[in-house]
Parts: sequence; C-alpha cells; structure tokens
Amino acid sequence: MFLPVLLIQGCVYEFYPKSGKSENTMVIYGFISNEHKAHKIEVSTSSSIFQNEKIPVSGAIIYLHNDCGDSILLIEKEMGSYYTPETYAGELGVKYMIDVSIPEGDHYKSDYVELIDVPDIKGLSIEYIEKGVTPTTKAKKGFQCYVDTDGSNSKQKYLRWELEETWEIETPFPVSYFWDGITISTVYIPRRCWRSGKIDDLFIGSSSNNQSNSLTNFPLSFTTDDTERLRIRYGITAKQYALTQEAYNFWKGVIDNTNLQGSMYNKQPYRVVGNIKNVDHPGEVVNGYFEASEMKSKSFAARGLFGNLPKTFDNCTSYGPFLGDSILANPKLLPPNTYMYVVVGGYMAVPDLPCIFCKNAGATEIKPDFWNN
Amino acid sequence: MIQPMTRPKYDMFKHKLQMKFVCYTILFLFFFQFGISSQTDSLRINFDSKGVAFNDFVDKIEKSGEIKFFYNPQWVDSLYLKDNFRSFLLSDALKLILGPESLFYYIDRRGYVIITKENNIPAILPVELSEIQKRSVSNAMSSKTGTDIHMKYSSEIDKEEYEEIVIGVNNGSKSATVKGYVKDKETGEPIIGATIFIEKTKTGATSDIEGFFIFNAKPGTYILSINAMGMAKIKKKLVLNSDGQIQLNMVKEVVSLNEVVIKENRFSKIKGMQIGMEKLTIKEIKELPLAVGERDILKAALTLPGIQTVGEASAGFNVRGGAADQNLFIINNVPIFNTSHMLGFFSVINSDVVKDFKLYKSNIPVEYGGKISSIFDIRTKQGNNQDFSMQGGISPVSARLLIEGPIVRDQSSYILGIRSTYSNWILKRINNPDVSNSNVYFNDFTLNISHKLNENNLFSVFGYYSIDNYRFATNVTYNYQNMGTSLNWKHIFGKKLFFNTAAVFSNYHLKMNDKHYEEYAYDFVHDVKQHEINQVYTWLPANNHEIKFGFTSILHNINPGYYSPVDSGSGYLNKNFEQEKALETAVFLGDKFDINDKLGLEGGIRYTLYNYLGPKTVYDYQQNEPISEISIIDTTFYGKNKLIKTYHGLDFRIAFRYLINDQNSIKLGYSRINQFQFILSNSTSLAPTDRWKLCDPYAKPIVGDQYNIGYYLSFNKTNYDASAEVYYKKNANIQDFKNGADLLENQNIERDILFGYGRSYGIELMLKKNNGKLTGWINYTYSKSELRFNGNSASETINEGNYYPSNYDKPHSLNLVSNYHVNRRLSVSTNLTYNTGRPYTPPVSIYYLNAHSVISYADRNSDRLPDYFRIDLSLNLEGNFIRNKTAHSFWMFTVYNLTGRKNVYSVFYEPDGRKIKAYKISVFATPVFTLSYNFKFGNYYARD
Repeated sequence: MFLPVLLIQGCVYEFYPKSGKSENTMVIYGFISNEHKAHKIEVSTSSSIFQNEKIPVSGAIIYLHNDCGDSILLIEKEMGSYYTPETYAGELGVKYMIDVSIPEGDHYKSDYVELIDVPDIKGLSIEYIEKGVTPTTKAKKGFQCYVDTDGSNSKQKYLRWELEETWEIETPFPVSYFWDGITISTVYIPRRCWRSGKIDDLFIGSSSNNQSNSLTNFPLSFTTDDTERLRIRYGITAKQYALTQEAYNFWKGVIDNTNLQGSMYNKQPYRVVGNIKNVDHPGEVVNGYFEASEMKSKSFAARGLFGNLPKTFDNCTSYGPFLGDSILANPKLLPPNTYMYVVVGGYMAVPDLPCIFCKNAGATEIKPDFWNN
Repeated sequence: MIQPMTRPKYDMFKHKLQMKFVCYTILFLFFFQFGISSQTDSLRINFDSKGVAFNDFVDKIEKSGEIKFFYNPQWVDSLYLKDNFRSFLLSDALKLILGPESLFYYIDRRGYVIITKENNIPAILPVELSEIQKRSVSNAMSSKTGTDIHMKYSSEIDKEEYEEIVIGVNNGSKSATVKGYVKDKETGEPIIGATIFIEKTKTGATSDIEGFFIFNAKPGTYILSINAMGMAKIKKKLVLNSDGQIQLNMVKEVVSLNEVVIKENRFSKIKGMQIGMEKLTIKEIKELPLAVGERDILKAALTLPGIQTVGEASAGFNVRGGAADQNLFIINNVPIFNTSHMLGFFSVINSDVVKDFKLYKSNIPVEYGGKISSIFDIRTKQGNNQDFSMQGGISPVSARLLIEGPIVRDQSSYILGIRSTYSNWILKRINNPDVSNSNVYFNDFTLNISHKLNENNLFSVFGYYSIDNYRFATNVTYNYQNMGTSLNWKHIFGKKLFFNTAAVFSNYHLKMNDKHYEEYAYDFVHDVKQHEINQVYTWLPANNHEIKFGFTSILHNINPGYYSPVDSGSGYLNKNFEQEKALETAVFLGDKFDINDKLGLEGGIRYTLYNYLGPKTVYDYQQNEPISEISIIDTTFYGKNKLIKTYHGLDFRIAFRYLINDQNSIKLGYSRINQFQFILSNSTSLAPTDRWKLCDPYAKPIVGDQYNIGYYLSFNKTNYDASAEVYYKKNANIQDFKNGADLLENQNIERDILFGYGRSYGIELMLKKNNGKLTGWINYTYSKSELRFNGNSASETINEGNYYPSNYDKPHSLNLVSNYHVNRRLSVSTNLTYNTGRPYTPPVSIYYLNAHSVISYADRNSDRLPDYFRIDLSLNLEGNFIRNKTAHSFWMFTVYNLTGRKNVYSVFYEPDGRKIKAYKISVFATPVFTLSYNFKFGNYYARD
C-alpha cells in the first residue's frame, strides 16, 4: 500500500574559495628534551592557505636560557632551523626559555617551561583493523598501533608522541653473477632491507579522566594496507614526551582546528595561542610553542600481511633477456655491468640497477635491533 | 444573490456542487415559502430501486414533476440503494436510505426535498422536525435553539434576523459580564482562538485553550460576530441585561472551490494588542512541502519572518537574532528542553496532536517569562468528546497514530498520539559527517485527558514523552529523553474572574555512551528537572479592562554531569559534578486596556526572585584577575538549600495599538525580560551534547530589551493581510566561552565563560492571501544579529572586542509559501526560501610546527557561506469528501529542493599531503522525493 520513494544524497564536494584575507605571522617552535642531540628551534612565518609552505626566517639570533642562569646561542644550520650543539641535553626539573631576535628587529620570548618527567612506555602493539569513514575518505583496513603507558612513577597526565615507522622490503631478484665487461664473477647482494620515515601526524593523549595515571591500548598511528609497508613486517618506534596542561590544550586546539570536517557540532575554529610573545608588541599574533620534557621511547614490529600488497619494486618488470646456459662461457655477448640470476634452463639478465640495491629504494641493509624475527 | 436557490438540483449542481447553495436554498425556503401547502406527504415510489444509485433514484422521482431535490451530490456519490423501496412512502424511503448515512432531509409543502448534513433546519420553518433525528447537541445556554446555518446566511438576507440570545434580566446594572464556551459542534472539541466580536463597540474576546471566553459590556443589544479558523462564521443578536453565560457551537466551514482554506484571525492581527506574534495552524502547514514528508509545525515556523536556523536540518531556532537557548518551548504548559529529533531533522512535536501554535517574538504575554527571545506556545487538542476516531500517517521516516474519543460524552475525552521511526536507512544515505554511519531511532508520545466537571471547572492531565537514540560516528551513542506532565485546572469564580492553574513537571535526560576508546569507555549523564506551579488569574473589572495577575514558581534541578565507566573493564574515572538548584518565583500583573475605540494599551510587570541554592562549593577568585584555577582565593561550601546567590529580575511589557480604521492599525511595543537558564554551547549550531546551566554567582541573568513598531492592514475585503514590523533588540550578559574551552567535562564553567552583549535589529514585511484558489504568504526580512565580547584580557575577548555577526546572522531572507487548489481534492503547494549564507570563520593562513601543518583561522565569522536558495513542491491528493465514510485518506507527494541546488551547509579545510583542500557539504544536494500517506478513521471531515 505504501511505497516510499526517496532519493536523498548529501555530498561533500571540493570547493574553491575566493582568495580571502591572508596573514603573515611569526611562527616559532622549539622543543628541548633530555636526549643528547642537536635540539632544534624553528623560526618561520605563515603562508596563505593556497601557498601552503613553511617560509623560514633566516638570520635570527636565538638564545636558550635556563633558570640557573646558563645560556647558549643556537646555530642556524638550515634556513630557519637553529640548533643546540650535538652534545646538548636538557635536565629534568630545570626551566628553559627561548629568546629570539629576528633581523627585522622584533624580539620574541617564550615563557619559562620546566623540563618535566615522562611516564614509562609499557609497550606498543599493533592490530589489523578497519577504520571508519570521514567526509573525505572511505573506510580502510590497516595496522592500528597502540601504546600502553605506566604512569605509576609520574604525575604527568598529558602525553605527546612522535612516531617513526619502519618496514621491511625485499629486492625482487636473487642476483648471483655480475659481468663488468671484463670478467664475470659471483656476487652476493642482500635482498632484505628496511625503510623508515617519520609519521607526520600529531599524537597526544591524556589520562586525566582515568582511574589510574596510565593508558591502555591508546590508539596512535593507523597505516593503511594499500602500500608496501604492511607487506613483510612493519614496526613503530614511539618517542613519548610529557606535556603540561597548557601545552596539551595548545596541541588539542591545533588538532581540533585541523579536523573540523564540516561539522557544526564541533567547537568553532579559533586561533590557538601558544606561549611565545613579542616582547615589544604583546598584541602581535605569534604562533607556535616552546616545550620541554623528558623522552622515553619504545619500538615494536609486527608480521606483515603479504598477499597482494604492492611491492617496492613492482615496476621492475624487465625480467629479460633470458640467457641460455652457455652465457657464462661467453659473456661478451652482454653489455658491461650486467647482473644475472639463475632460472630454470639458464640465466636472466637484470638491466635495471634500481631494482637490485636496497639503497636505491632509500632503504638500509642494517636490520633494526627491535626487528627480532 | 438569491437566484441560485430557485434552481432545481440538476441545474444547480451541474457544476461541482457546493454545500453553500444548499444553505442558500434553506434560507430561500425560510423566507419565501411560508404557508405553501403540499400534498407530497402521501407520495409513493413507483419503481424498483434496488441497486440504483441515489442520484439516479432522485432523477427518477424528479421526473414525476412534483418533487425537486436540493443537496450536495458528493455526500451521496457512492450511495447505492440496498433495498427495493417500490410502494414506500417517499418520506419513509428517505428515512431508511439517508438515516444510516447520517443525512437529514426535509420535505416542504411545495414538494422540495432538502437534504442536509446538519439537523438544524431553521426553527421558524414550518417543518415536521419529528422526521429528523436530532443528535444531542448541548446548546442549553442559548436562549433559543439556534441554527448555525441560519446564522451564517441570514445576515445576507436581513440583518435583523440573527438568532437572539437574551442574557440576564433587566436589573438596571451598568455593566454586565458575558462568559461562555465556544465548541466544535461535531467533536465537542473546544475552539481556541475564536473571536467574539461586538460590532458596535469594536471590542470583544478571544477564546482560550478550553474554548472559554469572557468579556464585559454595557447592557444593551448587540450583534456578536464569532469567527474562528476553519469554522463557519456565526452572528448572534445579544440582548444583554446583566451577567450571564452563553455557549456558542460552531460548525466546520465547508471547503469548496472558491472557499477559504486558510483564514487568519483578523480580529487579533489588526485589532488585537499583540505585536510580534505569529500563528500557524495545522491546516496551514498540512500541505507545506517539507523534507522527507514529515509534517512538522516547528520546522514550518521557519517560513515565517524573523525565524532562522543555523543550517539546513539543524537543531535550534533563532528568533529575531536571538540564540537558540533564548526560546521557551511549551506544550500544554510543559517546557521541552530539546526540541530536536535526529539532530534537528525533525522537531519532537507530533503535529497531529497540535491544535494551536503561537509564536511570540516580542512582548511575550506577562504570564510567561524566563526566555528573552520567544515563546513557542503549543497546545494540543483535547480529544473528541463525541465519537471515537483515529488517524495516522506513514512517511519514509516515521509512522504516526492518533486516537481520540470520549470517556464520558460531552464531558471528558482523551487523545493519544504516538509517532515512531521504523527505519534509519535514510540516514545512511546522507553524507553528512555527523549523520552518516549513524544509527537512529526516535519515538514520541502525547496523551491528554480533559474533563469538564461543570461549567466552572475544567481539568486536564497532559503527559509527554520523547526519546531519541542514535549512534554517532560509530563509537558514541546518544540517548535523550524529554518527559513531562502537567495538571491543569481552570476555575471560574462568579462573574468576572477566573484562573488557570497548572502543576508542571518536566525532565530532560541526556545520556552519552562513548566507546571511542574501548579501555576507557564511559557514560555521561545530564539531567534537567523542573517542577513548576503557576496560577494565572484573569479579571474583568470593567468593560475596557482585562487584568491578568498571578504567580509562577519553578524549582530547577540540574545535574551538570555524571561520568562513569561503562563496566568494570573500563578504566574511566567516576566523576559526579555538583548538582545545581534554584528557585525561580515570579509574580506578575498585566492589563489590557481599551482607552477608547481607537487606542488600546497592554502593559505588564513581572518581578522574578531567583535564588541559587546549595549544596554547592563556590570558589572566590582574585578580583581583577582572569578567573582561573590559579586565581582562587577562597572556597566556600554551602549546605543543602542554603542561599548562595539571589537575583531580582524586573520585566516590563508595554504595547500601544492605534486603530486607524477597521483595516489599518499601528502598534508600538517595548519589553524587557530576564533569563536565568542557558545552554553551554560553543559549537556553530546546537550540538547533541550541549547541556543546560543555571545562573550562579558568576553567570548573571541575561537581560533582553526589545523595542518594536508594527503596521497592520487588511484589504480587498480582508482577502489580504499585510504587516510590517521593525524591531531593535539589545541583550546583556550573553554568554560565550574562551577559545577551546571544554564545556562538557568542566565543573567550573565560570573559568571559561565570557559575558558580552548582543544586538539585533530588522524589518519584517509580510503579505498573506487568505481566500480563493490561491492562498499563501510571502515575507521578506532584513535583519542583523551581532555579538560583542570585550573582556579584560585577550583570552576573554573575541574579535578584538568588536561587534561581529552571530552564527545565525542572515541579513536577507525571503519566504514564499503558496497553495493552489486545483479542485477540492487536488492541490499544489510550493515553498521558496532564500537567505544570505551564514557567517563562518575562514582559514587565514597555514603554518608549520615541525612537519605538522596547522591551519590558522581568521576573526570569528568574518566570511559568509554562499547564499541559500531552495524550492520545494508538493502535490496533495485528498480522498473523496463523502462525509460519513469510515475512512478518509490523504496522499502527499513532495519534492524537496526541486532545483537540486547544492546549498552549502558548511565548509572545511583539510591538509591533503602538501596541499590544503577546501570542501563544502550539502545536506540535500539533489531533489528529494517523498510519498507519504495519511488516513483517518471515524467520522472526520477534513478536520485539518
């Protein structure tokens, strides 16, 4: 009797806004930990949303002060990136501040921030799951990384993580001979190697609403299964830092504003205010933050999915030419610098150098020490 | 004018017939046939009639030349004779044929057979009324048995011939009070908003929710004109000697080709004192095309001037530039705290049960208070106290059922409305980020029981319940419920005084289940409870005064939030925020004063005493410092019911009306209202997690002032109504929140709250066509709505402390609603909406923190979305209008967003690799087609 006829479609469309107002603000970001390394302070300016690039500010004079009265001058190694000496390490409980003078004459200072302790990482884990949609992406399967923390020896409730991912790759050809034009020799070229890279996403977490000051199975990165990464073995290295509540709110604001997704139920976007000010013009908009924390890290690797995942060397399709058994006796038929591997009834020549060496894929042959398989 | 009456049936009804003509016929008989003798009493039927259509039966009889029939063929177009009436007396045959159809007939001495649906053949007719079975109709209070048909048409014949009602005895009194009830004769349902107008003095009264009215007049003889929406106008001659009562029974207006479907209450619009009021009837919205075919009286309000919403299908209403929490929604005195089903797609009010809907945008009547922008005053039907009936409908979203009937006929009745969704598949097709992947379910129930103990005591019990349950973005389930009940008693004391009193309970319960993070899954519960008792007295001390006074006392209890782990496996912390409690008591006094024929004044004051009560911990903060955890200097714990803070609110209303003539009036108004309760929200539109907050030592009451002026006219014999209203509003203590403030897990809101000012102004132009094949309205509004937050520090300031547009600031707004009746059964309705796009906060730059790109936003609401434009269309097909068939149906085919315009709901920006991409969301990006079906069982006649 009743036949509802309904076609309803709400849609997300790409949209090309008229270039509206734009502003050019100072951006200063720095982070000091207890690691012995060159700690970086970056000075840049913002760009329009269409330009979308980091515009480095070169020639600034930057001092790192602590509340014991020590100061060090940072050195600009790359445009807009200023470093402490390689041997520098912050100290737990000490307060730090950065003082930045840019060539145009403006003078910026951060608040003093204490280098705070960080809870332990109990462990990392990885699970293969499907994740939901957003307005601009479809549901995808992949590896979800989780962290367990142990806050029993720390009062810090707010955490931030920096992640690095590592995955194993394999070159496609078991090369065993090399013809250099003069002689033919047997060679061993490692086929297993490891690529790694930083995960650019922001990860923060809080245990302020938890019964204990720990986190269990707290979700960090999600890596989709449509790349080579999850093929053989996939690992995550998490560096864990503690945040003050103010720093947590700063990062939360940054994340909230970046993930609005068109919802009218989220907080309205707003300008996130950090802890750096122009000394002479306190009203100036300065983006960025200066923070200090102890660092603890942990790594974990999980077996990959194999199957039909793309391979690193999928474009290495030049399997030929096929060479008969006699080629070893008469290699002069081949051009110099030819690699060969054994197949039934003869040899295959591999002309493409990129398909032979790990390093050509930006990978290392050194196995990470947590890769215990 | 009288001419058509003389035509016999086949001429007269050659065209589509109108019952009106029957009535004319009766009048003709009434005046010109007196004394004509007839020999038709003995006429016998001389043919076989079994299986013959009634119309053919009539034709055969008329061929005899002695008899002519007068009736509306539509009443009998499916009537076939079941028996052979050969050799029956015509009168006996008609009795047997028409009786089961609840039709009445009368054979006059000239041989004219008049068939009516009513039994009220004028008493003066030389009629053998014994032939007509009278249904019991309570009209005992009339001094004579009146006939509405008579009344309706006699005016066109002879002004002196109105039915005369004599009240009281001539005892020399100088003033007399007349009171009584207006009822629908068919259902016994009181008629609300009927105007009883004394033509001579241009004064009168309007009936209230119980159909009750009261007015004063000097003893004398008057012509009363009684008007009500959808009812046939009646006129009575009133001989007023002293105090007394009358009962007025109205009958439904006959719908016909050239007749009225929408009729505005002109008495109130031009002559009434109220300024800034809108009224919608179910009749008006019945054919309005709405998304997914769901009839929705609150959403229909968006077609009226001055009513906005932030986005398509989003929650909350913004009245004259006010925030969504500045509106009071009451249904039979029960306040509703969350009016949205499905995130705002529909309202929680089942339109089937609604009898009257008034929306006050300014000069809110003095008996109401506590919300500065508007009152959405919804009244349900009381239930048919004559017969049982049932109606319902199915749309792609929900199914509705309404049953009503008498408990004790003429005395008590019930009405029960139920509505439920039966599918949530529709949502899965909507690509709204918050809507897709949701699981939706909603229900609502409405029950009203009315009892009239006697003429002076009316009681009703009302209950309301609505529930929404939906899973939101896969891991979070929201569940919220509105429940409320009211006990209402109207008591009439003696001659000039009556009161309405109500005991009201309302509860809003929100539960959120967040499993986003499995190991720390939690439940959040928020409750708003309100116990209220109020009493409104109406006193008519003199002919030109109507005084209202009374009190209302509300006990507010709010549970700001209770967090608990969902089970023992969850590591979430148990957190129970301190309860909020306050007692808000108000006394009020108002007078409606007709200074003379032209000038009227309505004024009132309302004093509210607001006490914020313990138990509660209150922090003292360092003065002149931003309020934060570090500026705490003292902590005080207040025990149970200990007074923490008192606010005094003094509200005023004053309005003048000057009647230039019967067609033109001008009105001026000013009002001030204090508001003691608000919603904590820092999202663009009302969000499902928003919670209510009471004023406390830091959150001061919102004070709203409004000035307005209006000009009203009607022209072309009241076929058109036009109005222009200009308003200016200024609100103080409007709240917003510090950037990024978490309002949910926040026990000490004072640390994040900001107080500022709001101002809004605008002009609203409205033109409405009331009669004819084409009816509808067009309105244009120009308005501005701005906010300003200028605190002591940067974190307490928004947009450098300057005025900026609110989220619902849409300066230009145009609505065109039209309804074209092709014929009695088929109509076409269109709805056209245009408004300026809402403001939003655009990104202004990108910066980098290490490798993380961060979007930086400009000043709040410094850009606008593209303009909004939409056309909707509906085709409405009524079942046939045979009056007493057991069922009546109504089909509605709707196209929402006919042009498929991709109106922008919101825009957002997302990093995409090294690029930033901009996206826009459209909720309904293509035309939406809906077919819905509505039915009625029982003796209904196109009731609404």
